[in-house]
Amino acid sequence: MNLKKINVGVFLLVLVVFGVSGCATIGSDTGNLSHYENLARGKYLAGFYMRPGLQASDIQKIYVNEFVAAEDSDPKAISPELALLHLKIALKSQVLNMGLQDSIVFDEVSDADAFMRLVISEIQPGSRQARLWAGEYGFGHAYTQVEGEIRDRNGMVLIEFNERRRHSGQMGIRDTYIDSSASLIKEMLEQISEGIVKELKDAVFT
Amino acid sequence: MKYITFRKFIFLVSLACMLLAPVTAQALKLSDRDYRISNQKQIAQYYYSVGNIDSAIEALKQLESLSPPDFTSQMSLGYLYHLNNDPESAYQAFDRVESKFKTGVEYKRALARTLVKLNMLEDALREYKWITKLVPTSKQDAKELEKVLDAIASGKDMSGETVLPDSYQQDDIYVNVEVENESPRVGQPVELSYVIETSISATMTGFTRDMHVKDHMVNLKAVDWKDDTKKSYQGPSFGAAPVWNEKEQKLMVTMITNGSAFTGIIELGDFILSIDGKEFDSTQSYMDYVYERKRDDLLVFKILRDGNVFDVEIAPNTCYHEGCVFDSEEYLSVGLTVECREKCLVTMSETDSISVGDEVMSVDGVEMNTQARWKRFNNALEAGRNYNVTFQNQSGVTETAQITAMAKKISVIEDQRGRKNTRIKSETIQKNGKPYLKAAINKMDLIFLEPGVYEIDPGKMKFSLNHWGLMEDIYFDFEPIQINVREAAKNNFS
Repeated sequence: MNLKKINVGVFLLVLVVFGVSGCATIGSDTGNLSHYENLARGKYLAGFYMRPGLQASDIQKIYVNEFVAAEDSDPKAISPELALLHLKIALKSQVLNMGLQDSIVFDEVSDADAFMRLVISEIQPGSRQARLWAGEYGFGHAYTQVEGEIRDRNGMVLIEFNERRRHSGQMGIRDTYIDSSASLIKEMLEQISEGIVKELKDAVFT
Repeated sequence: MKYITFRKFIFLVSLACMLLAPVTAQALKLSDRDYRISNQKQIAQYYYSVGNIDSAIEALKQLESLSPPDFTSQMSLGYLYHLNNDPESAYQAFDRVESKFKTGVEYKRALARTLVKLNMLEDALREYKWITKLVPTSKQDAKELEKVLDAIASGKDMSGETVLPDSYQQDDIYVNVEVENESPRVGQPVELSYVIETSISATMTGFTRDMHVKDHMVNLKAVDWKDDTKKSYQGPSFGAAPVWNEKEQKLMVTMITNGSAFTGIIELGDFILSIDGKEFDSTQSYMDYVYERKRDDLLVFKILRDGNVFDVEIAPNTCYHEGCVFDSEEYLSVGLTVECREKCLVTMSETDSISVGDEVMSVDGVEMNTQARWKRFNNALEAGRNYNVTFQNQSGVTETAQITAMAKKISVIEDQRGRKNTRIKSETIQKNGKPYLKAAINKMDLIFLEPGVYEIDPGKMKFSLNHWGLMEDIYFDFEPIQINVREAAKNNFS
């Protein structure tokens, strides 16, 4: 009996440890940011850095002027171009939801005092089969890493952030009927976008 | 062991047949209501196919009196309203679909686009989010969603606007060109016909007919070909591109198209020393020489490969210019294309007295109610003879018109792979006092029209032939052109 109880407990622990979808960590160093060593856990993002002494009033309007995606994704699941489109849409939605459409803009404006560059540095759709069979043990999970930096007009880094997310597809349950790889990537991009906009709202546009 | 006699066996079989006969007959019998529903759907489909959206809508509305609305007819109705720039009615039709049936992505997409036209952007956004959640791999839906988001953020009024990006339209439109019996020639004004193909989803229309290839025959427009228009190469071809190699001072084969005349004979890197003894000093001189040849000419190539010189005989396997027109045969026509399903409806008319959509009832007193009868009538035409056609126009009035059998020409040219089966029928006809050219490719003279204004890039004319299900493309140089399909449809088929 005790043994059975232990087994059930271990199983539940495994579920909790590996099964929770959408885990976020500080992303690996991909060379896209200047201050990886300074990234610390933010309120909403796994890695966030703000230049010391930066005041909220220093940034009035951010122009998101660059979207870049890693080219090494599995095009069958989701192409880098489409992943970028989803990131852009998710960001725009969040900006709209939080009423920041005058502060974070996507079309070029002359009065922007900061410029945001966003990079999807990892698009790893994972494996549907692996998630189905052993998703609860961490196999086949989808990964996405997004990094971004905000610079002022002189090119000085004001803010940097990154986040790497993992999604198990509810331990493969979502892969039962269709391959959920593209959905998982899209969802993670949406979660990261939400984190970015919330973090910026708290840090800059309060 | 007992055996039944043959007579008993026959008796038992006969008895079983007699008992089962009423059941079988009942099962096979198509009820009158089903028949009328099917008929009504086909009429709607015909009207749609000839671009008469209003009548197609009417036909579908009449269908509602025959049967409770089904998913496809309601979707079709909404879609037709959408085409007719009546978003309110489209929205109502889609709303009925949503309240009665399980709805899928196609429905949501149609609804979202209609909502955009109604400037109900928040609702459209909700639908698009639903779609992209279900189909995260659809770039088109994501792009449309982004457009809606941008419009909301900027407070833009999208009433009557489409969310389809320009690139979407251009990517999916092929303009097909053919002129009477010959290819376009520099410096000559020619009349062209266009067949526009778009990627409307077949399930959107809900029609039962094979709609997966959308050939949109749009009106024909006179285009002046100017001297400075770059002429594409339309002469005989071996499916290869020899390039003048400056270092070797010889023509070198740098590309061979799969399945071309060179395949299996010439290899990449071979040098062409001469053809029929004629030597070349540039790529152009080679092109000029080949252009003058005919498809059936067997040419002797002197080839240099790995230091060995040898001769091979090759015939061009593709040819587009007028010298290559294979055949030109005459046939008789009364200038009517009629398709008979439940009714014999006119789908193409060259006479002013009979319009597209009219129902042909009889010719010279002979009832026309099947395609076979119409075919038999066409096969028995006599040149110059007048025929009295009794038809019912779209207002329900029965009229009689006189039509004359005239000699027309069919030109047979080759497709890209050198097969001469592809028949392109083209002729200049008069309609509403204006001359224009009618073209039918492989008898596909169906007219499906997607309203909208299409910008066609210069130099990107693609002549697509549906050849036994395979799309073959022939390219022509072309001037920039704007085609308003809706206007063209109205002018032609109203």
